[in-house]
Amino acid sequence: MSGHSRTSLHLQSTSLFGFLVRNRDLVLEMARRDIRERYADRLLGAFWAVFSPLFLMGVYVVVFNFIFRVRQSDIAHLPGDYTTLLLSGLIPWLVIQAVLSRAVVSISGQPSLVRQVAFPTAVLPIKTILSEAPLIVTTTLVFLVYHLAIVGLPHWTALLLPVYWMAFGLYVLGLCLLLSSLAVFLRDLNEMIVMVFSVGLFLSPIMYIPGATVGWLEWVFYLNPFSYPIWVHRDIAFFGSITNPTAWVGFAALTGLFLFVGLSVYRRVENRFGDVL
Amino acid sequence: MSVPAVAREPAISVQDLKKTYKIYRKSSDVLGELFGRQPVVDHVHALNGISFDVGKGEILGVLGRNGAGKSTLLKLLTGVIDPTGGSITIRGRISQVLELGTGFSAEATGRENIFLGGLCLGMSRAEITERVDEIIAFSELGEFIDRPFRTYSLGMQARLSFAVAFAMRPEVLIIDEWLAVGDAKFGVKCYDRIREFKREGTTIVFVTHNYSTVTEFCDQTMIIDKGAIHFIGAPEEAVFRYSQLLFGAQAAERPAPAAQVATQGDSQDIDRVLATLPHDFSSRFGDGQARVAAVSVESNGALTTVLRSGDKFALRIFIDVLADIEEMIMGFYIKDRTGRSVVLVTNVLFPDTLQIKNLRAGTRLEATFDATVTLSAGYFFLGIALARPDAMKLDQVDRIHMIEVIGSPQVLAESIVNVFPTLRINGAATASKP
Repeated sequence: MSGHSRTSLHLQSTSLFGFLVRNRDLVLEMARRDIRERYADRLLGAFWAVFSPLFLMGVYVVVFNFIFRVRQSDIAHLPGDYTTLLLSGLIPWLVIQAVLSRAVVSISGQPSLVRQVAFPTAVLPIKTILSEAPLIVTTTLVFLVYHLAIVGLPHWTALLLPVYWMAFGLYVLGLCLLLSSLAVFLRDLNEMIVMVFSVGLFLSPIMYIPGATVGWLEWVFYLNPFSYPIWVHRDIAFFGSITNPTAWVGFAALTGLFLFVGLSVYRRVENRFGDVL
Repeated sequence: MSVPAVAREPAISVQDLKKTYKIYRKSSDVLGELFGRQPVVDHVHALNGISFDVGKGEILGVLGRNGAGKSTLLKLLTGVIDPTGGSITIRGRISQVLELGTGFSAEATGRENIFLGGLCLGMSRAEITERVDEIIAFSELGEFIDRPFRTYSLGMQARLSFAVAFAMRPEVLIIDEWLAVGDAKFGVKCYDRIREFKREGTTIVFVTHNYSTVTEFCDQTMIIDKGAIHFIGAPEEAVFRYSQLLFGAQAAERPAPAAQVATQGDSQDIDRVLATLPHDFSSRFGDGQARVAAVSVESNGALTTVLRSGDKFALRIFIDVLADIEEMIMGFYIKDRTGRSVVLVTNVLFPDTLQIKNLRAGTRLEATFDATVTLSAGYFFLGIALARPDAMKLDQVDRIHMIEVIGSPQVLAESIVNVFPTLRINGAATASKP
């Protein structure tokens, strides 16, 4: 017999791991529901799951391959073409954007669950991460297929991608907890996030050729916390080796930092959701 | 009724429970406060220190007007919000039905929602899998169970919500307004389930506006008013206290014998009746040569529209005569919620003694029927009709009062008409007195 004794309800009174184990059924079911609602129950069904990220990637590829042309000499020393370079940075960016923009409203958008039932609210931001699994899988497949067709066999390190995405899940988990809980009290946080994302693409190491950017932009990259998972993904999927050790260390450090801050803030404010919603 | 206090620990102990809501100017002020700043706030005291116990296996009913603090109490009990002061001790696994369809997804089928809703209520996947057939059977949804939830009628949504909630095996169950749903037949099923819960020793707290539920199911009933306990005790007593709370305090405080003296033709009386009982004159017809000015319903010494099965009540009709009328027929009728007349009484049923003749314009007439409440629990509508002997209507007011009849232990809920018989048994000595 399970059921919510009060200890399983709040992140406050349990470890993150314990919380996840106890509420795993709920997290999985809600994520599954999310996915079905967004894709399977739509008119064009799973088509959107494949099409919308493809379309986005296509737009970026067209813009940067044909409009803002890159000089061939700039990328000659790289192990892939410009498109694979672009995609390997774009994929984690798209996923971060998707997860965080949904996580921000994950609690404030469910007032009845928060107000009416003794409900483990932390399930809401956590499941938004899993809900993006179709996006991760389709974009990754597109990348691998393109790589295979145009550049050749992907690096062996591509086998590490599942491990990367698990680490990525921990990286965004802290951020999700932080943003979702703060957004309950800060109603304009959602708008702020939208703004951050609209400029973030240009301030992240995605469309630029490594080593060929202006000096101050490099500094921006290092200040931008989203750069680190992008660099790591690019190392794994594009370079096939660790070209930027700082990024790996930074990725791990930021994951720990975000989890610490996210959990601390969440635990502090979760009892007050009911007062505001 | 009352559980002997033989070292039995109460399932729920509430001690000096307080809840003060802070009304912030901005929701971000909450955040500021959590991190040490002192924002400007207004305080709303929802509960001002209430204490009560609920014994294991007992049912506590909670009555109260809107804003009295009922919802706050339920949310505190379920742990949705934290108290400002005092303590709550709950012994056992707690579960709740505070809102219908919580956690349900509109796009998902009924079957999928059983899992989603069940998980949201705190069941495990294994538990739900084990009971999914039982849940579907209880919901009576049949083949609809595999259609999307959004295609369900409100009644079907309610049925599924309750089926899921009732599939739990909690030790303490908190229910909000659970009678407001479904059709009558499903309601009966819900009652049965509640009885079963009670037999299994589940402790139940529920908020309701339905008096008859209180008298039929509760061991104790609590009235909350203005954040404090107005009354806690026997359900029958609570219902009367509550109706007095609702329909005018002066009626309750007025000593009964004095009232009877004062009733005879006092014009202040009609004002009091009109002020105390909400009259509905919106549906009236007739030529208006005589008009119903007010109708009082009095039972157990108080003006009230809440009557208990088996009790005596007095129905007093105040009539303004506006033209000279040779003879008038006067009567009242009671309709049930479907509009069917279940009671119809006129003065011509007393042919010798009560003819109403030679009425003068500008006078006022008072007619009082004394009767017994033979109806069982439910909502009814009282109508008054005044007519000439040739059936020309002078005035008829349909649904002037809504009457709520509450059950009594002597009357079964299914017994629509009650005759309050006496009983003799000859032969085997089976009768016994407690």
